[in-house]
Amino acid sequence: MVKKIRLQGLSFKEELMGQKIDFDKSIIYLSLIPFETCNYKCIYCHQGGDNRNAELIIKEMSCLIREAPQLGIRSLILLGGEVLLPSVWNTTRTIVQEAYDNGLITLIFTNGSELNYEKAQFLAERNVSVALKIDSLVERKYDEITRQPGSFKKSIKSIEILKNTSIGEVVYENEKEKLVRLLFSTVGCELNYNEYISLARFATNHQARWMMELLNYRGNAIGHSELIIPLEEHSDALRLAIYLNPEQAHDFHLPCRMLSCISIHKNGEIGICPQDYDFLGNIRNVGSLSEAYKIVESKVQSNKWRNTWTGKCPIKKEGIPCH
Amino acid sequence: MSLKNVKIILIRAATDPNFRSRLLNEAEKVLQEYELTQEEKQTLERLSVEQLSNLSVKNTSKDFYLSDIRI
Repeated sequence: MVKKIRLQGLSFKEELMGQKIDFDKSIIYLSLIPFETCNYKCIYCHQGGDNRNAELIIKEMSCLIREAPQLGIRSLILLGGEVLLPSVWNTTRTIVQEAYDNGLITLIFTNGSELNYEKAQFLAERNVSVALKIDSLVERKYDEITRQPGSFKKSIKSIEILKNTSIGEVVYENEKEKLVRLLFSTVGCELNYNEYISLARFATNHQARWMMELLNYRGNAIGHSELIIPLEEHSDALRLAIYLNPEQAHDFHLPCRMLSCISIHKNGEIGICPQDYDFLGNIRNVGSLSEAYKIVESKVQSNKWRNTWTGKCPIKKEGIPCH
Repeated sequence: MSLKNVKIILIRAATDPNFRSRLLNEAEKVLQEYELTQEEKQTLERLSVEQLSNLSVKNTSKDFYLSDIRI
């Protein structure tokens, strides 16, 4: 029997064991986007900048992480920029350690270019799951998307590094599902939609979860109209890829699980989904994560808001979930 | 454009029982005739009878469907 692949950090062992987690009523994820510094200039990047000003400091993030478990938050999603760059690695290390010490499961998003065995081992030992950007299996195309020669080779190398640690192993499995710590993330667009079948298979071959992210048409993406794919074509290609690779099939969570998330951006801005820039306030003004929690909770639990948003993505309004 | 080739293979499997049977029983040989990525070949080699049985042609049009997915 084909076992579906799920990712630790977005999913949890307890779920596979039959325990219900109320994503509809609780906030489960804390997402931190502490810096936007990146060594790639991906043509679709929704941040599209390299502004180093006013980034969250370690002390602020540590406070948020220490408060999170008391609010029922179970997972830390750490995004950049590029969180493994040498210039930010000390911060990433500290945050990952803090999350681990406070019982959170961390999921980091990285392009893998600066991964080495020591970093991978540090992450592995702290129960971190890793989401690696894999936008194409064609070297030339991949490097074209990142606008960084050699980036494809670095991504492939980083997979091998990760697989030599416990991040490449299955955390838990039952007769229907496998929980893993490796995720390949693809931003679907006109340049790669004809690779969805290959990308889904590639992830399965590596015992990784494959996740599709919709193009967020802001930042660098503005001005790249060649990236836009008709939603119907994207949807057909995605559904075909999943049908032919049932290990990657999953229930769409409606409302999206990212409505169970508090995101804190680099200047302290409070949001819901990490890709949503419709901010609700600033953590530096409200003073604590529990106050931010109240703001997000009142928003997502508002019937008026939910009736408008349930089943829809804040990025694309057409109602197609991105993962 | 190997996605196009995957669709051509699936449509042929929907309309040609002999081809469908060959695809199930000797996929590696059959797929040699098509330009496909390694991962697409692996995917098609693993197709099950159940997956292929969901192939259909809509009566009212020339559209082909796999389950409810337009291909």
